[in-house]
Amino acid sequence: MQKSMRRYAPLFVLPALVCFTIAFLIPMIAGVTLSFFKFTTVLDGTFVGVENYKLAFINNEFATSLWFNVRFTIISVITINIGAFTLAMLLTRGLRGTNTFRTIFFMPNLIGGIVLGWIWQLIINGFLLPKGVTIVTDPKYGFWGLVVLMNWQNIGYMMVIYIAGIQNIPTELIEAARIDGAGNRTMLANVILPSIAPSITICTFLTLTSGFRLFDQNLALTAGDPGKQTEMLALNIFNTFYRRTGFEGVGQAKAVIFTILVALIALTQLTISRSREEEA
Amino acid sequence: MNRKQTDLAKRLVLNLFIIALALGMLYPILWLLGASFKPSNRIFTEVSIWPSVATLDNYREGWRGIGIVGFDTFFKNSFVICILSALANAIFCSLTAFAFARLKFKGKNLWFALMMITLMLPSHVTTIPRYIMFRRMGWINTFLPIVVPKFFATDAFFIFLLVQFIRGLPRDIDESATIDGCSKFGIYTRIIMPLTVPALITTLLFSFLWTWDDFFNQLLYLTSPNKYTVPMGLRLFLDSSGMSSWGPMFAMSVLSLIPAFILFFSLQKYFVRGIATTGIKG
Repeated sequence: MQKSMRRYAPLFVLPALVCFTIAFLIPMIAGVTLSFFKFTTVLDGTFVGVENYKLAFINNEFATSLWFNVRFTIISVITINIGAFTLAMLLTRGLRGTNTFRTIFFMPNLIGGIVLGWIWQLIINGFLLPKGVTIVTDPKYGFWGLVVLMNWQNIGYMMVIYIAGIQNIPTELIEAARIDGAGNRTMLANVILPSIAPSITICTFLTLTSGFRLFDQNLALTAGDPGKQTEMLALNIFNTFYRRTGFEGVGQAKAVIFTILVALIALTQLTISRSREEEA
Repeated sequence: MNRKQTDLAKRLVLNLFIIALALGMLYPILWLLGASFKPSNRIFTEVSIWPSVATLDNYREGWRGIGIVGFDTFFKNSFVICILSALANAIFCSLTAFAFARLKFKGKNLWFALMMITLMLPSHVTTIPRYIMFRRMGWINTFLPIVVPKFFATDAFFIFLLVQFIRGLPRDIDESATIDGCSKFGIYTRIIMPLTVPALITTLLFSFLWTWDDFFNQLLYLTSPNKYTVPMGLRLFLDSSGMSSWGPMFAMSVLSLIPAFILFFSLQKYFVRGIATTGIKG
């Protein structure tokens, strides 16, 4: 039996592994390699060492977009998670119409980022009209516009995860805590939050990575204006690669820096929250 | 009596609060719907959702498309790409997930970890090498770079989802099937696959929707308007000829939401279950 299992394993695994290697590992390695080359054409290049990495930081552009992106992501992660958790708590109390509300809150997630960006651009501009400005007048508007958009799109999705987490808490646990005289606040801090730790982990992880990956919404809402001040990392990399000839390698170097950064953040976050979950 | 009244008041406030939030959530969607019926020049100036003058011109003009390419072409392209992607993801991610969840092979943990890393890392670092690779293969301006990777089970999210699901199925069934002489492939086709149908539907749904909404990859690989997809077609309204036609763009945006909304409303429970599966510790 064991033997037949081993005999058949390659049938399932091999194609996937081969494909995985072709579709992911090779581009990954190629991606790192290319960041050390200057492209003469899109298909050809010469080795230039760390030149591209130096060029990536030669002006403030990349650093600005990095900082903008970090601030954006931190604020979005906090607001989305608090918002989604609050909604989940409200919608697990057996109120009338709970399902309808859940549906409504999830709906924005069905709309593509590019359309979302345009809708919000015009709505925000509509609100700014009396002041005689638009969303691209001041990077501040673009920043908060992106935060609002990101919240609007993701709160419903995260809410669904939190609802599943809350519904998974054994009722005996809650009843026992009630009998022991736990008030609402103690209940939240000592029973509910520790029990849904896995949901918090996954939601933080999802919002964190999508905050750093955001592209479509950024392009449609502000396109980086005014003067690249609201350009986030993905858009900055894209523009470096496609809009400036001779800078393809620099774009790739930025992508490598970006990847390392996201990997570090994601790993740190997972390690911290997993260890917290185990304590709980 | 008094307590009952405060309870009632509390519930009322809570309900009103949720209703207000829900209206806030709906506002942009309703705004979009309203804007699609407004004459282009009024979209910017009219704050109200309800159009003071309603017209179907946006829909007519939008459907005509850009240049010689009608908007139906964009829809057709999007459907082709999305249906192929969804089917490929469902079949190949489930095979891979079966291997990870049920078979023993060398370096399984390492490969699983690598697969999970792809879930975490932004795709940007592989974007350019992939672009170059597909260009060498002469695949630019075809659907191949978007669809073919899906046949190679490269969407780690769905593999993870299906692995989680298969792990939740009792092993006794496949053990007794093995004793009855069922081959591994038989176990997959006769037992595991039928049992994972809910997760497969989730996979189909999300692959369809995410491909439908994706803009970045299509922007990268499709270059001529007759290959454009819906999101790209929408963008044409905004930057062709400098004269942006926001009205037709919003009208076609409304149409582009219809498939997503139909899928969502008819298969809602699979959405919810799929999202919830990823949130539970495995």
